[in-house]
Amino acid sequence: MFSRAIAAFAVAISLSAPAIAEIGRVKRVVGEAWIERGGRRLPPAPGFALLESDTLATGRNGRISITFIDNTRFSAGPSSRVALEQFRFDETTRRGTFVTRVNRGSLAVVSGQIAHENRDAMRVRTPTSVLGVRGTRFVVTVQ
Amino acid sequence: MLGGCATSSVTLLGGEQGAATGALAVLDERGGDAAVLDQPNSRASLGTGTHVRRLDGTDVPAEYREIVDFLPEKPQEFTLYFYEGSTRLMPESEPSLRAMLSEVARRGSAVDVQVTGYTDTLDDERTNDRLSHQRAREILDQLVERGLDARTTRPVGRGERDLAVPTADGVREPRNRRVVILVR
Repeated sequence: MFSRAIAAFAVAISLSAPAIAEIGRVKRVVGEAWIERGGRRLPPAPGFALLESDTLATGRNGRISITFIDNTRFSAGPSSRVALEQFRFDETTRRGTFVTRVNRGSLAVVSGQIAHENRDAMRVRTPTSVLGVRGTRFVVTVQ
Repeated sequence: MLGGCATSSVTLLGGEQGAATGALAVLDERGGDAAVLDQPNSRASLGTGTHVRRLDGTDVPAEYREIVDFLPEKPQEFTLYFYEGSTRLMPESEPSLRAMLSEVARRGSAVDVQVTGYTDTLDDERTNDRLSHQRAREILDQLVERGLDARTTRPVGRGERDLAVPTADGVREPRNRRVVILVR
């Protein structure tokens, strides 16, 4: 299964990041958008700090954009659900692992240092596939 | 709405601001490449089987312009240089300092600033760790004076680690006596 490949990969370069650490910040929000964290819905103002395992969600008129600490940038379009499943980044070595799951909607990405330093260290999953990101700018849509 | 594609897909775009196009792989169950995109505006359908095709042109396709335009601005990096053993900025770095301060102000409340100080290899490690931290602190103080929320950043001193110009120990090197500011 895909998940096994990702788990093995994660173990291979597992890094000692603190359990609760900021992984990125919300830059812009329009319309209906929220962050799901531990079953709660949080309103994301610009500057809102994101954590690993957060899920981004937008309504029919919503958009949200984010810059991560490895310089990866996201823009999620309307009616989207995007889970930040795994994010590990060592600021000294600039290596890490970044797994995002696009459950529905659309996501534009400009990849950052994690994708740059190691082949397929950044992966984007959809309900039917796994993408290995080797740089840099792309759009994923899930119907 | 995103029209024009009835199934899930991934589309590789050309690099930002004329940068090179990267690459993207649709992986198979063992993590191998089922398909690789490496041309601008190449699209792979994601579902039962993977079909790759090229869209017309090399500009961002019209259906994606809105979502791409909403991407955050590219992070910008500034490097400032210092006098030997000092937290005093070299005069040549004054314009970069001003450019950095105005860039931080322009980006507004969602800005995220990382300030990292470094030294050359002249002194011992402990002294250099302290000096590099003081250099970062000096720049951060200037940002805070101009209204940056101090809680949103933290000065880091990396001493003589990660030299910009590799040298032996005990070497004066102006290009290593620096503070790097990343503005996101």
